[in-house]
Amino acid sequence: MAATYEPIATTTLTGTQANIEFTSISGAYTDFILTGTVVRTAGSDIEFVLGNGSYDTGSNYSLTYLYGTGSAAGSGRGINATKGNAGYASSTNPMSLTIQAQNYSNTSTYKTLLVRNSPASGDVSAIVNLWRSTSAINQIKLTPNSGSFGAGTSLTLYGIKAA
Amino acid sequence: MATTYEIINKTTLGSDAAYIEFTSIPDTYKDVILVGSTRTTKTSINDEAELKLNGTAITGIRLFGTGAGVACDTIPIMLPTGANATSNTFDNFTIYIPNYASTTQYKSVSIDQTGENNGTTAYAVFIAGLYSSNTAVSTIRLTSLTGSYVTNSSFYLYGIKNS
Repeated sequence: MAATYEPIATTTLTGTQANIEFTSISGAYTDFILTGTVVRTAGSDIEFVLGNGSYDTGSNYSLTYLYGTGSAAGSGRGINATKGNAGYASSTNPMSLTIQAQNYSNTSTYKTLLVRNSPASGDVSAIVNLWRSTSAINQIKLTPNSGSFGAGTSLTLYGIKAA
Repeated sequence: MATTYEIINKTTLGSDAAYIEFTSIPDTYKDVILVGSTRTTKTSINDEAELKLNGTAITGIRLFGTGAGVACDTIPIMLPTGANATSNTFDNFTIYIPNYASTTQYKSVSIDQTGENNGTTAYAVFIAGLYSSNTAVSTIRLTSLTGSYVTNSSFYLYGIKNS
């Protein structure tokens, strides 16, 4: 039986690194999930850019988010952004992160990415990001907007086949 | 190819139980995920349930909505469906622990739970948890804090490999 849920690539850091990217993502899957543990050197948002051959840094991203700080809950939106958002944490404790993209390799529709991030210090959040491009996603780069990724960060990209 | 997503253990209750526990969890996976569907005997729309890893309760942030409002606190307690919810309705939940077997970092825990029951109140819950220990997680316990999990409550523990 063909495997449904396959690991594509893993990045595990033993030191600090400014960004993490997965490139040459095969279009052979239906969906992908990028998931694992993130450690930061400073409290920050994690932002990401997507692309096909080159990263899109135009104002082609938007998002809606729901978050809780531990004392308050809120929701908000952002439009015409130059990056996607994978959540905020105020501490350097490990944080679980999942970014899910359905139908990421199609060339007909814009791409929606669902993000769940769970920092025990900082904003627990659920975020939906939209990349307004019909290009297939074959690369993704994540970058903290302050500090760097820290040692112990480990993210795996999985491909999910529908058949 | 090796299987990526493997069942480690599972249980479907044939009688009420105050808690369920998975022990001797092997350290051979990258992440673990516990999914399930529950209802308890507490005479309320919802009960409360505590997650312990290796006998220690997680700390963290909880964000939840009831359909009438949203709130956030630092009480990382789940809200399983109780006995006063619409009959035959069970909640569903996902508890994701990336890098659970690490011996060099704390463990982030991400919990999603929903208890839709076609009533006037239901809970959607997001929890960002932290197990503040460098010990690999080998035991997971879920405890209903007031009632007991009822017959047909189910719990499935999966290990996820990244190679």
